Amino acid sequence: MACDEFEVKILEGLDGRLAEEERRLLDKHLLSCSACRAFQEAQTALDRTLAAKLGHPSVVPRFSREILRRLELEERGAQTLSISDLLDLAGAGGAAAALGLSLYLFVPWPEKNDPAFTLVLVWISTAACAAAGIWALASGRGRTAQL
Amino acid sequence: MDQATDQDVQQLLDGGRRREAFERLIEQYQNKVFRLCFSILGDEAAAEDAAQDSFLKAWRGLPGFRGDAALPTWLYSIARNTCLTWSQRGTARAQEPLTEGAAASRSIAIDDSLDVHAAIAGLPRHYRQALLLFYFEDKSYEEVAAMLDLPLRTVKTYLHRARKELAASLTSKPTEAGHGLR
Repeated sequence: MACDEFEVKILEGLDGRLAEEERRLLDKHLLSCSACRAFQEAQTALDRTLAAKLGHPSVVPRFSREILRRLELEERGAQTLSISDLLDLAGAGGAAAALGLSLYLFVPWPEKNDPAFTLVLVWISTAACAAAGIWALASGRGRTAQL
Repeated sequence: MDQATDQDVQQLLDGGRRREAFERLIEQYQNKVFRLCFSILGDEAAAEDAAQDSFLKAWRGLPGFRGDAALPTWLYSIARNTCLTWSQRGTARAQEPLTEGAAASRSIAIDDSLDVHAAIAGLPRHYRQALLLFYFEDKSYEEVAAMLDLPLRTVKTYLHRARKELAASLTSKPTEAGHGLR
């Protein structure tokens, strides 16, 4: 067996993974090879230092609580409509409706008495309300997500 | 790996008790997932955030988990992918892990005049990950292989090379030629 192979055995020995027969062979080789003995000494010192200093890093005590808190926030955000969502929707929709009604009442439209014109205006106002509501909902959730 | 816990989690899932299963999962694997993230990202704070993200992804994936892969295998895979995303985003100092600031509390020294932090940081990424996990996980080749999803033989090779390189860079005086201890 060459020194390269004994190096592997030296490391396995440090890790407690050497069979009795392999250990016997290694010990015999070490008696006659100063280079392998030096390698073993260096690796033993390194192993001791790394084992002592690297240790077993652990999470902080609040780790699991923090995950569950984030989970709850996420689930709350995923509900179909929260109170703040409803407020966003109502506010934006109401503002759009008020604007549409004002336009209808206070602008002297020439076709005001035409039922078709009124129908188109109602349709446009409804679409504007819906768009404003969706926009408000999306931007409100965007703000929440950034928190 | 605790197979009894994994079975408990699976039973809870099968029984529709997802929240309990998730809490059990965190309890059992929080440190391992954190260490895996730390070995990849090299930064404790980033590792903690990435580990939390990993668990939240696991929560979302739990309803679809059918036990085709072992629970830890599945969880470690989520954690590795999460860390990869973090690294690509540049949110962690993946390219310069274990710097003085990143792991000051984990300073190591064979020789006071030599910087072990720098030596570990100077190792190739795969060697460094394997080496850190090896010591974090009580020198278990099998655990490192499972966490990094590598064959056992590859883990042994990485560890062998990492330790040789580390010893070489930390040994101030050259020893006999031919043994890599410059």
